Amino acid sequence: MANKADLNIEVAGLRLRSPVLTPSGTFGYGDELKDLLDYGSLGALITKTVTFEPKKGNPPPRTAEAASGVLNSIGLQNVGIKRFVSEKLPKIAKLRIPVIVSIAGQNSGEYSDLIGILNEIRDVSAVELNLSCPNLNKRIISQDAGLLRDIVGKAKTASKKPLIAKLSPQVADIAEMARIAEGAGADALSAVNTFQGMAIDVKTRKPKLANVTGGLSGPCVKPLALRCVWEVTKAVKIPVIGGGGISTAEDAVEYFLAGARAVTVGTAGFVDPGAAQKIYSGLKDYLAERKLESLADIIGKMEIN
Amino acid sequence: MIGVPGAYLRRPLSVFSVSKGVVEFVYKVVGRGTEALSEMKAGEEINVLGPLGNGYEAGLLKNGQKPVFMAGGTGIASLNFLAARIDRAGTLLYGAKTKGEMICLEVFRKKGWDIETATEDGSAGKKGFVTELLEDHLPGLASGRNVLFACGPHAMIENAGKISKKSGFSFWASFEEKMACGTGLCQGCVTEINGEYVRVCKEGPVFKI
Repeated sequence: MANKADLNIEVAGLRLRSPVLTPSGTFGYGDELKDLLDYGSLGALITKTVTFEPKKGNPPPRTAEAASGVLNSIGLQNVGIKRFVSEKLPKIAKLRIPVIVSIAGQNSGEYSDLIGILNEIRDVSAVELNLSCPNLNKRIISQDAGLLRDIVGKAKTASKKPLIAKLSPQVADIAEMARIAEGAGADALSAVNTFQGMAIDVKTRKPKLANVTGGLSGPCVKPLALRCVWEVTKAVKIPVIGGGGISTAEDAVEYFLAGARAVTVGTAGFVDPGAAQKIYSGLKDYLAERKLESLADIIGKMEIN
Repeated sequence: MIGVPGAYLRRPLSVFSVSKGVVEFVYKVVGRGTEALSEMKAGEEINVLGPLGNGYEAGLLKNGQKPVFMAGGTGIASLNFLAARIDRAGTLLYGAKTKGEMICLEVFRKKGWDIETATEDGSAGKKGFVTELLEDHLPGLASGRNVLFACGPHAMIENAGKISKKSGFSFWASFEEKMACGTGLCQGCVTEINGEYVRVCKEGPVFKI
């Protein structure tokens, strides 16, 4: 049977040939898997977060295994926007898939400055705001309604590119934060960032991460993240990119049924570099087997009762 | 990177030897993953992603140059593989916690290698660390007559780095590090070289120090 199911999708004005994206921080600078993965299965690549100045990152150990997941605390290690634009971006552009650049600033001015630079670069399809790092006042933007409104609003004013706001799951009411980001002008939302966790080595009594705490990702967070995505898609009209623990096409279908327009596959790629590709073809099969023509037939189609 | 039953992440192991249809790995049981690996039965399937990263540039041995190997514990694995791929014998400096943890000494001996050992408990060779065996070889290394290849725990390589800096020679070091992906995606397995964190899996695991 010819598999003609259409996996094209539009997110924030971007026409993507696949709804499978790689989330920020789980895909190096982008070209690491060029011998191990068919990049044709990816709709877009969201880069490792870039900051204005280079960042050395946290000391090792930076990762620790959890039951069905991974804790990480990388500390936003990156080469800074200047070298990113001159050295990394040309390599990513060669992969011929839309590039969404993830950025983080210390304050709204730095977000705007980063956006100002990216505005002028044709190879950048959209900008994602990483809002989950502590800023100068030790407040985390994605957990602070006022800061979230302010930063997203100013970024929107500065940006000529579609703007995606990435939400943290660690808030009392994620639907409310989603509405705030939408109201401030975000063209799409990314949900969700990692869940803070920790682990201790009982032999040495030392934390397994040098930074003590870190972000938990992988299959163990899927039910938690899926609930967040469902809350968010109910609350806003803008598209939602959903992700958290997706390892199989069935996992991805759950996110679509919960209302996501696209999905991210990150941690699964640590274990199986071909995970995104398998999920892409698994989605095609899922639609074809049910004689469905496009993703629109499953997006938001969870049936309660 | 080796898939382990019951563990989410793969485990990074270096290749010990390759012969017709057989690839051997050496590991020490240190945690849940290696324990599960040790409980696997003959005939069970194992999922391997590799080889990954950069190896020793053994081709860099010039005419007349002799290799000096420094192995700490299971670090012997990658050096055994290297020994099979170079055309000459040299000196093996081998350190372990205790004599019982030492493997493949006979293999090196048969190939004509000189062997010096050190154990932390004094059960074989010098009582102490393998880096202490380096002392006698410093003139040869500093003059470029010999080339050092090292694989072992971080502390061993760091110590060797200090000694080499003082004596004015560089060497090839293979780093052991816990890894999540092994392909450069997560930036977890970094080690600090010249003030910058570099990925052991992608830019390494073998670095010129």
